[in-house]
Amino acid sequence: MTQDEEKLYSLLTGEEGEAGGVLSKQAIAYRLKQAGASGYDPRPSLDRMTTPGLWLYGGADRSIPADRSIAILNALKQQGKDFTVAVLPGAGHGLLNVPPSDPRALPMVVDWISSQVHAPTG
Amino acid sequence: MTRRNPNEGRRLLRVDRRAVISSVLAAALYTAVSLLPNPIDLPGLHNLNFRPGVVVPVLAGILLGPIAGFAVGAAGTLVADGLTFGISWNWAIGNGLIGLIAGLVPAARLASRARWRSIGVATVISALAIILGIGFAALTDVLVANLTPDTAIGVEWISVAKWELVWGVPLTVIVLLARPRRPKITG
Repeated sequence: MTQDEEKLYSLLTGEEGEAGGVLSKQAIAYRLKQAGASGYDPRPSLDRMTTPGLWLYGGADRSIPADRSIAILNALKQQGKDFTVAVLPGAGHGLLNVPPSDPRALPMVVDWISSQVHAPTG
Repeated sequence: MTRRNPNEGRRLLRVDRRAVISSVLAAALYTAVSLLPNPIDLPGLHNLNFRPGVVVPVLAGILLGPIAGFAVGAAGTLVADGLTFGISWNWAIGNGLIGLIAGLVPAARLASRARWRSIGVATVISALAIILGIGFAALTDVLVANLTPDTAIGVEWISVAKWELVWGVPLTVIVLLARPRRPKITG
């Protein structure tokens, strides 16, 4: 999703600024649809990615709408991208913060990197 | 110089059977268009928003009058939202206002005298209708969504109105130009 959509989402959830935070997930999704996409869009860059990627999301992330980002990544996976996507339910945006929003995040990153480094080559 | 028909205002506010049927069909069309996925969601064009549906309440207002315009905009939005994200009453009223304000164009004059001038008036009022209708929805989000006025104006009003103008105004002109002229009554 685009930079401006992300900004509007965080304003509506109340993560950014001093307002927002009163709408349901559906009502926020509605306003995102109304506002539409604008600003920097990372999808062209993701389209060009040739390296594997791990994408971890917090299910209660108030900075980005995880479900929309995951939908985009899943579409790219269907086009052959080597992406691994995982959601940690109830976790917020700072998965690798100190303290992390979910302590399972860092071990998942380490395991994924190990699996990539030690992957058998042929 | 053209003289204003004294019955024009009354005709605009009249809601007859034809207007009701046309409004129901237009509201159904608006709902359907609102539910369409973005067909131009292509690489490199992600920021190009697809908003042709706004022309439906605009034209309903211009051709059927302000009451029908409001009904088409509000009902079409309510049904589409009820089927998808849930109802946001202030956006339904905002889209209704688009039809209502566009309906202030004296529709009875569109098909006859001074065609280009009528279409010009319709275009300007349609643009104003979009700006004010979306403005109502965005500014009431200060109360409904607890947004700051800056966010409501900058992130909602301008973002939405911009694309609805880009699609709505040219489509309004195209449809009004393509619309057959009413034959002149002589004698």
